[in-house]
Amino acid sequence: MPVPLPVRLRRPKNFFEFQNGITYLSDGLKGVQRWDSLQGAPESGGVVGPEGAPHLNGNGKGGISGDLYARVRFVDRLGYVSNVSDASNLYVTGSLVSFSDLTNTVPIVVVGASTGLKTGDIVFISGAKGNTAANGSWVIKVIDSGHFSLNFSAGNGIYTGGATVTAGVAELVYSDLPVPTDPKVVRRQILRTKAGDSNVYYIDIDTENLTALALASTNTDDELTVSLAVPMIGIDGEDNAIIKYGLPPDDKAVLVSHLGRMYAWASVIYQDGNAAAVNGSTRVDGIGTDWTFEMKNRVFYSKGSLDYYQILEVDEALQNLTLDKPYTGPTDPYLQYGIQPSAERLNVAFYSEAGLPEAWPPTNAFPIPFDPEAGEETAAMSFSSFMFFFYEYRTWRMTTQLDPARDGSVFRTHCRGSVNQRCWVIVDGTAFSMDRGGLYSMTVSGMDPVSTNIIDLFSGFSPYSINWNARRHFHCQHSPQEEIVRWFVALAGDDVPHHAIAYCYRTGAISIESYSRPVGSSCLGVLDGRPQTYLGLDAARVVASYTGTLDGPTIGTGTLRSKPSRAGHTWIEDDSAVFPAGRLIQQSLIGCPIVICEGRGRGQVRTITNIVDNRITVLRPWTERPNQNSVYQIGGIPWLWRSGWIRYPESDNEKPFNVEVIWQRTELPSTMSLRIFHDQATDPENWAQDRIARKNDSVGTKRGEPDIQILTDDKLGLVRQAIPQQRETTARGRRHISVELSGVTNGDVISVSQLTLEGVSAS
Amino acid sequence: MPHLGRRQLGEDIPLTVRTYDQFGRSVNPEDAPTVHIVDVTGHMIVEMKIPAIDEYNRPGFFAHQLLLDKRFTTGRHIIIYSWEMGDIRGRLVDSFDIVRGGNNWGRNQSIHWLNQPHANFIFFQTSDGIVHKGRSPSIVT
Repeated sequence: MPVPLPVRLRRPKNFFEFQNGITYLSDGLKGVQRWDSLQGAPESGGVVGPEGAPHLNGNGKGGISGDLYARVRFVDRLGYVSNVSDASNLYVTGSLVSFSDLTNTVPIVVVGASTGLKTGDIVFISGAKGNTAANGSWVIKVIDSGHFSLNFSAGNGIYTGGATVTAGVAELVYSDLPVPTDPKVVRRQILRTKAGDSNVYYIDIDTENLTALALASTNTDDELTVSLAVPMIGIDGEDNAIIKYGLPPDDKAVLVSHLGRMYAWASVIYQDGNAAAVNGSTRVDGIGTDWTFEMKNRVFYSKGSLDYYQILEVDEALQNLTLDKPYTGPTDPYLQYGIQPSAERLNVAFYSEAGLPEAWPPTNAFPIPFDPEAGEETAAMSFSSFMFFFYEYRTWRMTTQLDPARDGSVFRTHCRGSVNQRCWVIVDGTAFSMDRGGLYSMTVSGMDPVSTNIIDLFSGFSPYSINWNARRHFHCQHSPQEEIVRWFVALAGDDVPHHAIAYCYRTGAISIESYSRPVGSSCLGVLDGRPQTYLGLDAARVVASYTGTLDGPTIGTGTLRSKPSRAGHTWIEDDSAVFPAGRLIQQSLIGCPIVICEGRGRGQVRTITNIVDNRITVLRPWTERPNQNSVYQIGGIPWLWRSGWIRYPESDNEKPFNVEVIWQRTELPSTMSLRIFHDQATDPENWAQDRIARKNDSVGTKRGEPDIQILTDDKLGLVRQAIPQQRETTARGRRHISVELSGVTNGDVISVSQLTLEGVSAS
Repeated sequence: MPHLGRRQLGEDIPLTVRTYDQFGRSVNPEDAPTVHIVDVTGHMIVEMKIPAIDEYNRPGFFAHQLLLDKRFTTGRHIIIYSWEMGDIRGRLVDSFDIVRGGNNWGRNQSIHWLNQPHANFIFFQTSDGIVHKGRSPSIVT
């Protein structure tokens, strides 16, 4: 048995578009990114908050008074804010004013004050007992050198002591201001409290100056009243600014929106490559790894061991880790290891604040019950009024109205899962998904398997079994016009998808499609106003699928189908061919497949790497070199249909056995091949005579070869071929027949409307 | 010298080596085998260690998939695997050719359609990890 190669290609990012039109990208290895289509490249999601705290001080005498705090926060290009910084020092404005009494009069008079205050200045009084109406911030009127009154005040009792009277300052000076490290920050906001309230902050300075370490403001409390109030703690005790705008989790691979919130799910367990670990050392070196800085604070473990280590540092360039304690296992240069989020973050869905896709308080976490048979977290889906969380082998359904932490509840839906976030799709109120057990449909009330007929493909008993090692690269796509959902999978021998399992949900039919190039991704978009499936291929190409009958070239741009004049190891030459010159070749032909569709070398598909003069060079060498009787087709798509096994009648009574094919005549020349199989044989029947296919007699055979060649541009659009009869009705006679029809596309759709087997009966 | 075939930029090339001792037995060396890839001028393009495969708990099998990215150009390339076990120094050589075509960004491995009022966009990530943007797609004729 061959040793399968590990699939250690970079992980695909998951894209998710929030209702604000911004696309978010996550893979659980690097931080969440966002793209609003206006920027040249994606940028990090969330706003990194300030480090440290500002320092608050004041200057001069004026209208700003009270016990004040300040904080700083950052604002990004889209208007999203960060968490606020730590609070500044408590700043009690101005100088203390000595006095002897606060009169119980209207207005209140401060007696015995001997300061340099003038009418219109502001004082702040706190702690007054008895005459508590004096507490607060007041504009004063100087009566004489020993008295001033508080405008619009009225005493409410006899002052019994405890008060401090503070004169206001003319200017507040904010220093030690944090500077943003996040490149998308465009503004800094400096917030401060008003006199007498340490919870609600107001934006005092909103500046585009991102570098100044000190800024000043003369805004009084009254002037702040018109600015935005930012309470730190809400009326229900909830945090509103301190941790509310946390960064999106970087250890979850999937982001999904549900009822206005973003959910993060699918913890990434990274196991690629080896780790070289030395007993007693805190340093671990990676071999064939792609460790990221974001793995800091995650957990490192060796397979088979119960010892866990926290990762303190990651050196991305040198690919090494620093652990929180020395490695206690035996020294191993090829350690099989794993890196995963800490235990309290596994089986937990995190979610953002409602309507704020970049505000992720760490407390917004919803645990999913642990199930040891569930496998890894893989996908999440908002479906109907529920949020579904997929594992490899399980699915959980969550319902919530306002906040999952308060009113959320979760139920296990069924014992099926999803391969990854790109392997489910919702079609008209039904979700379709793929897991290791096959394809299934699901509604909110249950699930139904739909791929029972091809279960060997999933279970590993077929020679064409799915290579589950490559499962992170599987994906699916709904094609509304065809009413088909395709799951692109890698079969045995491939490490990226070259095949699709196509399920027609209207008829229940399943077929396997083969692609000459790897199909790494797919999406549903629009082309000319109609829904259009786009496929992502090799060489960074994106193609619109099923828009024509050829894979790449356009009819009329030169020779696409002909016979080679000569052929070499990796090329063919066609003296009669006319290929477009220059850049047009680059765009239209290089990278396209070329198919040998008739004659020697039939069935070979190669990729064109160059065309010079009349020589076509291909990437891989020919297995069987074409000759002058071969026919090549540039951009041709091979197709094949095979019937099931159909039983001959027990008593044939010398009935004729014929096969008849009716198709829609094509304008351009093309061929189909018909093959007959008997009794579970893997090889088709060979024909006994030579017969040349030509116009008006479109059937050709060659002695000793199995193909009945049919010219699709035949004007009748019909062939009828007798099936040779040497059948014995006794024990060892032929019992079953199967028919295979195949061909390679040219410029027309090949539409076979009928295939009839006369003289047999279905069984 | 074994030849890994004709390749294009953007393909993942399988680097595989079996390390063995003086008796030809598969054994793990003291340190992971080192791979050097040089072009025909002798310019070294890649130097790296490759990890072990232990699918069947067999020693001496190492493999890694390497993206033919922007460091590579067309032409013949030589792969040199080397390892040490005590006094024994093992060495194996492979080669491959990079021919015209392909794209050093690699394979398209994730894609997203974004419909905006001012234009339609396709975001896609290639196997070098970079995310790209295409605007208002149309069919090239």
